[in-house]
Amino acid sequence: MSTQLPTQESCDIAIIGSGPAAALYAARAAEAGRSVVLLEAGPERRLEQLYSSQLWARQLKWGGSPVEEQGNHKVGHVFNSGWGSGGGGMHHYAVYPRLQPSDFSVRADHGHGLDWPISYAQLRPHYDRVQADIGISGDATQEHWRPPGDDYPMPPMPLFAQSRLIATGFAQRGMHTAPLPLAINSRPYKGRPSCQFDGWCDAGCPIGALANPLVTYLAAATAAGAELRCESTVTEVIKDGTGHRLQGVRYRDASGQRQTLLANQVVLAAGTIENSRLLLANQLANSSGLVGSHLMSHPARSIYGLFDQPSEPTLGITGGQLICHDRYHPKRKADDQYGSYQWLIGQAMKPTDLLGIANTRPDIAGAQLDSFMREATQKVGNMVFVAEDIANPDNRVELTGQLDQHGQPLARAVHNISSQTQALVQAATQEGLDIFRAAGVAEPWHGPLIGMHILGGTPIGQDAASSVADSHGRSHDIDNLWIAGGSLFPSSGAVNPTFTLLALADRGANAMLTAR
Amino acid sequence: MSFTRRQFIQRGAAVAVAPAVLAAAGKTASSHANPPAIAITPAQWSLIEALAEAIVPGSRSAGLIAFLQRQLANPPEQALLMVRYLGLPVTPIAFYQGLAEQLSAAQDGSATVDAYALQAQMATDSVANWQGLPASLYHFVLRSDGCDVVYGTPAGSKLLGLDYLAHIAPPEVL
Repeated sequence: MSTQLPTQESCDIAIIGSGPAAALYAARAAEAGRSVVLLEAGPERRLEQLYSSQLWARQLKWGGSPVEEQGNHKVGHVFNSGWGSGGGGMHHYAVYPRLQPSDFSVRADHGHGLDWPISYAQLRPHYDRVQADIGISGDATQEHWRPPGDDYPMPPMPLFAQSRLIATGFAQRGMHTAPLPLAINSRPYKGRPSCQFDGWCDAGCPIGALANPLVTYLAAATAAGAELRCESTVTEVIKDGTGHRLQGVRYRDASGQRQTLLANQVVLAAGTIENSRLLLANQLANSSGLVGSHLMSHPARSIYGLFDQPSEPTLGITGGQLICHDRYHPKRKADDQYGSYQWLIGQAMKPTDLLGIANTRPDIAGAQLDSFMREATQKVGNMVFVAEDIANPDNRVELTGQLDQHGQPLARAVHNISSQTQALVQAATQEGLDIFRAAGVAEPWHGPLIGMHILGGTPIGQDAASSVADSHGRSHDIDNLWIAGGSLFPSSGAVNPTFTLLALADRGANAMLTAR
Repeated sequence: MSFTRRQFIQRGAAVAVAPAVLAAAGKTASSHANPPAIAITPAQWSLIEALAEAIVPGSRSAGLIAFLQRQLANPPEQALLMVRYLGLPVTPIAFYQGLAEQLSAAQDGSATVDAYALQAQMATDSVANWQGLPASLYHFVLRSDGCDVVYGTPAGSKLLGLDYLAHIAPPEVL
C-alpha cells in the first residue's frame, strides 16, 4: 500500500468556480497564453447528459454544502445556484437585458443602497463585446428603453400564443412590449444551431442554442488550453508573508486528497454565497468589514391565467418571449414605494416542477387537480415581474459556526426586503392581475413572492473603506485576488444579471491580464 | 457543433443507461457520503402512498413509492425530489421519515385513515398535534413528487395530450 503525498503545482491563474464569469476569465486568460486551472467543486457536466426533464434538471442546481436561510425574503440558494461545470449558467434562462444607467447611481440619486464606481458608459463596450461573442437575439428598435449599445446580432425569437394573448392586455393598458433579448440563437450563430423552442432551457440546452458556458466561454477556455478540474473543493486561500498577495489555493480533489495549487493570480468566481463564505472563512480581503454585506435578491412574482383559447404554454423559451420596461422609471413611484421592475412575459412552462403548471395552483388536489392539469396545459398563460432590491448592509452572508464535510464553516444568508420594496411588489402584483384581465382572463391569480438571482456580498466601490473590490473586481486588500460574478454588484437593478456579470468579468479579465 | 433533436435522442438513449442503472442502485459517483438507511416501515409507506393518491390521483399506479425509495437511496445532491430544491435544514430522508412519523401519529392506532380528509387538513395546517415541519410543507412536497411521476414524464405528457419534444429523452425514473 502506497501513501500518496500532497502534490504542489503552479499555474499563472487559478480560478475558483466554473460558472459564466469564471469561464470568461478562463477563456480570456488562456487565449492570452496564460496557464489556467479552474477548480470546480461539483461534478463535470456534459451536453449529452442534459436530459430534457424537469426532474433531471434538479441535478444542475446547488448540491454543495447547505446554506441556512433567514429573513422575510429568502434568497433561494439551491434553486438560484448551479452545481457542476458551467455553474448556474447551466440552468440559466439566458434573459439578457442590460442594466439602465440609472441603476449605477441609486445612492446619489435616491439615497438607497450603494453606487457603482463606474457608469453605464464605461461598461457598455464590455456588454457589446460579450454580446458579439455569444450572440443575442432581440429587436433593439422595439426596446425604446434600451440604453446605448450595438444592435443585436440575431433577430428576435418567434412568439407563441400565450405571449400574443398577454400582449393584448399590455396594449389595452397603454403599455409597450418588445421581444425579449435572449442569449439564445434565433438562427445559427458561430457554429451553434438555432433554438427549437421546446421549452427545456431550465434542464440545460444540449443542442447549444442557449449560451451556456459549455458551448461558449468554457469551451473556448479549454480549447485554448485551460484545465478544468471538477469535484475539486477549495478549502483555503494561501496568503504570502505580506498579507497583500496570495500564493495560491489548497483544495480537496475528487479522491479527497489535499492538493496545493500555486498561482500568480487567483480569481474567485464561485457564486455569490460561496464567494463571501470563502473570504470570511479565510479572513481575507475584509479590511472594510463589508464581506458578506449588501446581499440582494430580486423579488419576483408570477401572474397566471386561463385563456379561452389554446395558449401553447409548454413551447418557446423558459425565460419568456416578451419584455416590458415601462415601469423601470421613475424608481420612486410613490411616497411608500421605491424601485424599478420589469415584466418578463410568456415563459414556457412544463407540467411539473417548482415553476411548472401543477404548482401554479398548489391548493388543488384530487380529481380537481387532474381536470385542472388537462385544461391548464392547453390554456394557461404566465408572466413574472422582476423587481429591484435595495442593497442593505444588514442583509448578509455570515458563518454559522457549524462545519461541512471538509471542515469549512457553513454559511447563513440573511435577507429581508424593506417596506418600500414590499409596497412596490404589491402594486406590481395588482398591475399584473389587471393586465391579465385586460387580456381577457376572467380570474387571474398569482404565485408567491420569491427570490430570483443572488447578488452582493463583495460589492465593488471607490475605496477600501466602502467596498470590497475596485471597479474591476480586484480586491482592495489583496493585489492578485480578482473577484467575479454577481457578488460584485453594489445595486441590483431590476434585470436578470448574467449579461452584466459577464460584462464585468470581461472588464476585470482585461485588467488582470495587464496587471503587474 | 450542430446536432439535430433526433441525433440527440439517439445519443441520449445510449448514454442514459449507465446513470439510470447506477442511480437505481444508489451507487452514483459522488464526493458526498451515501445516505443512511431509510427508517420508514411498510405500513408507513402505505400511509404515504394513500395520502399521495388522495392528493394526486394516479400516483400509486405510476409507482410513486418505488420512485421515492430509489431517490432517497441516492446522495442528496443527486435526488430528483422536490425537497432538494427547497433548501430545508433536513436531508430528503429525514424529511420523509418526519412525514411518516407524523402520519403514524395522525392515524392514532386506527385501522384506516381518511386520506382525502387528512390531506385537506394538511394543506391548511389544521391537523391536530402535528409536530415538526409544517403539514402544508409536507403536502406541497408530496404533491409535487406525485405530480412528477404522473405528469412529469414522457408518459405523463402523453396523458395530457402534449408532445414531449425531448432534445435528449430522459432515463426512466419509474
